[in-house]
Amino acid sequence: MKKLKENAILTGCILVFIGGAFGGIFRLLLTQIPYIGSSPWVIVAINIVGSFLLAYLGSRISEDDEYSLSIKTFVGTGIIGGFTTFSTFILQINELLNKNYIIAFIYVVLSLLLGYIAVLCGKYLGKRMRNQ
Amino acid sequence: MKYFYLYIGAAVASGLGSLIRYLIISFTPVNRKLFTGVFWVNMMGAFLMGLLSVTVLSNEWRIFIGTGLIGGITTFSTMMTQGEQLVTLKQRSIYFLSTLCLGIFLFLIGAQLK
Repeated sequence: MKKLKENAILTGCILVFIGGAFGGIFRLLLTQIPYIGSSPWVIVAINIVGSFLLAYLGSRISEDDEYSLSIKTFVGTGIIGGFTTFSTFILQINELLNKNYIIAFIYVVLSLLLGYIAVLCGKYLGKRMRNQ
Repeated sequence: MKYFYLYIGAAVASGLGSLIRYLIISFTPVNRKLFTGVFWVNMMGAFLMGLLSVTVLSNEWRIFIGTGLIGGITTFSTMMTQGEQLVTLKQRSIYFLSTLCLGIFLFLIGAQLK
């Protein structure tokens, strides 16, 4: 049993590493788009899309077998977890705070609010798709 | 070609960051409400990002460490879904606001260390 658990962690590590690499490169490519890529709002879009997808995945796949857990680890923790970012979000808030307090405030509120709504939508949709 | 190597490097760094996140979350007790593994990786990432923001580095290294490694360590999506799983609206608000405020605070502390 202990050996099995160690193997699960090792498999998870490999899945998360590969998934995280893909998620990170998607994010990097999006922030490198000419003209609009350097805008702080790109991070908001990335985070909202990621929140929606993770909530959808979590409620769409409810089974606890090894295969489902592997999919969740690879796509959820790896790709989507690596795609979204909290550190750059905080960095952007601080950069906006240096320029304009009101825009920084709107930035924070919109990120959290839309992210929260995205989670609720993803959860609802995932549940509906599962029950079909 | 230079960009190709930079992107490959950033992808590997992001994979490593995600791996660190996965290990920290896996070994943090799951019965916590506020100071979860996700909370700690985000705090760590915010602090490191503050440190990075005052470090003099070339643009390539900034992408490698900032976008790749630290970006991979931290996650917004898991924070949102985890916060949403808390029972009451009050608990959720406390979770989101404490993550946000402490994140900004730790970023500023990191930015002060030079």
